[in-house]
Amino acid sequence: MTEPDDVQLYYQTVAHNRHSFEQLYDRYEKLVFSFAYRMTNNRTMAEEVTQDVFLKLWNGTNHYTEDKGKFSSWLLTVTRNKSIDELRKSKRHAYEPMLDKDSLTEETVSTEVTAEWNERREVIRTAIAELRAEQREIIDLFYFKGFSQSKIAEHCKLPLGTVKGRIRLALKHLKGIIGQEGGVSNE
Amino acid sequence: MNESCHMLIDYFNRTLTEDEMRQFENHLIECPSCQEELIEWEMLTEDLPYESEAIEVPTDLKARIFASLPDIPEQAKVVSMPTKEKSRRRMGPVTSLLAAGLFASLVANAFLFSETQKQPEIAQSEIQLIGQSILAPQEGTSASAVAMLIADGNQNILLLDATDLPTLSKDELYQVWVIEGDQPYPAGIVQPNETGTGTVSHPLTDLSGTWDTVAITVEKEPNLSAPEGQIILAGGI
Ligand SMILES: [Zn+2]
Repeated sequence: MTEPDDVQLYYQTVAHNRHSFEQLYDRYEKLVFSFAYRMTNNRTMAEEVTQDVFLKLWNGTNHYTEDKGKFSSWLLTVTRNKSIDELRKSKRHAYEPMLDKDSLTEETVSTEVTAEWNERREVIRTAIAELRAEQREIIDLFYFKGFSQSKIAEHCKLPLGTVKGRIRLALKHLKGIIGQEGGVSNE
Repeated sequence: MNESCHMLIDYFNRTLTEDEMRQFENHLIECPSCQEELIEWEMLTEDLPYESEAIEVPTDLKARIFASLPDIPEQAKVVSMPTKEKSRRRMGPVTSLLAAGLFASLVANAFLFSETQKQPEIAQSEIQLIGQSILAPQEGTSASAVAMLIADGNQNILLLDATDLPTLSKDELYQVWVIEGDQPYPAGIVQPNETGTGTVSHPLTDLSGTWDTVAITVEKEPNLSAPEGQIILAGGI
């Protein structure tokens, strides 16, 4: 029998099947935790976010439906939203230097998800490196720090009305480079 | 473009106040350009989470999360959706656990069913979702199924969509049951395809409609008066 897909596992999780939930958990724990850490730059917050994301899956608080796109993309959006909320709650907006560099590990890939992730990371990092510094910065402020439009304007010394256009341009540029290098298509 | 359209980025980044959030969500419903744009932003950012460095997860995080799962009593293992009395509702935006696509395909099956019964085609708005449930797999199987009770004009129909059903031997079949108190009634046979997926729509004309459980068993012959074989999936509805 083939491995159950994410959507199946999700439905079974909502029906409180512990075994399915565990499979789903094992599949995404590392990705969710690492992304939450990337967003919050804080281990404790990353743990809280991970716990919240998975508990809400189990409790059925966050509803996923297939018209919301791929399950993994949806899960990561939920993770980002929760990370932003946590950041805001703790008012840790300022950039904190990473204290525990030692814990950054490039582990050997074991699961399909990690393998796909490693591949995508390679492509995205190469693409980001090709962007101009201002474009890298605006993507960081917008996506990973979750700043408001006005805060980004202030930070980048841009008129408020041009912020959205600049972010979009940077993201489109990035998508363009990724597209050329291939391999990161969502299909 | 109106004033609210400019809030899209701050909505995406959750920097709006609750009032503004609500204001934008109301705007979103009636602004196709914001709807499109939101999808575009999601698409433009979908690769970015994968930029994250792999971080070692605290070894006890999983144990802590699993220890904090609320205890679910055995009979609550099934998610019962709207009950018959409480929320008989018109089929509209189905904001439920079910994928809209799955629902659509089941409704399409209901139409097919009415056609084969040579009944006049009914307008979609006459179909009402009365109840639905996700059936819990029994120990040792990864099968899953969604059961829905639909009122189609004057007739109630049980729709059931199962996936990942284990392969049966030649003389076996999957029998669907609806159970009213202690009394089971056969309610169709699932014929899974080679990937273990199968759908059934079954009219419930002879039943009083107070039944509360749906189950799938493996049987040697169809439409027995009571299940004899192993239960694969079961749940309340
Ligand atoms: Zn708009």
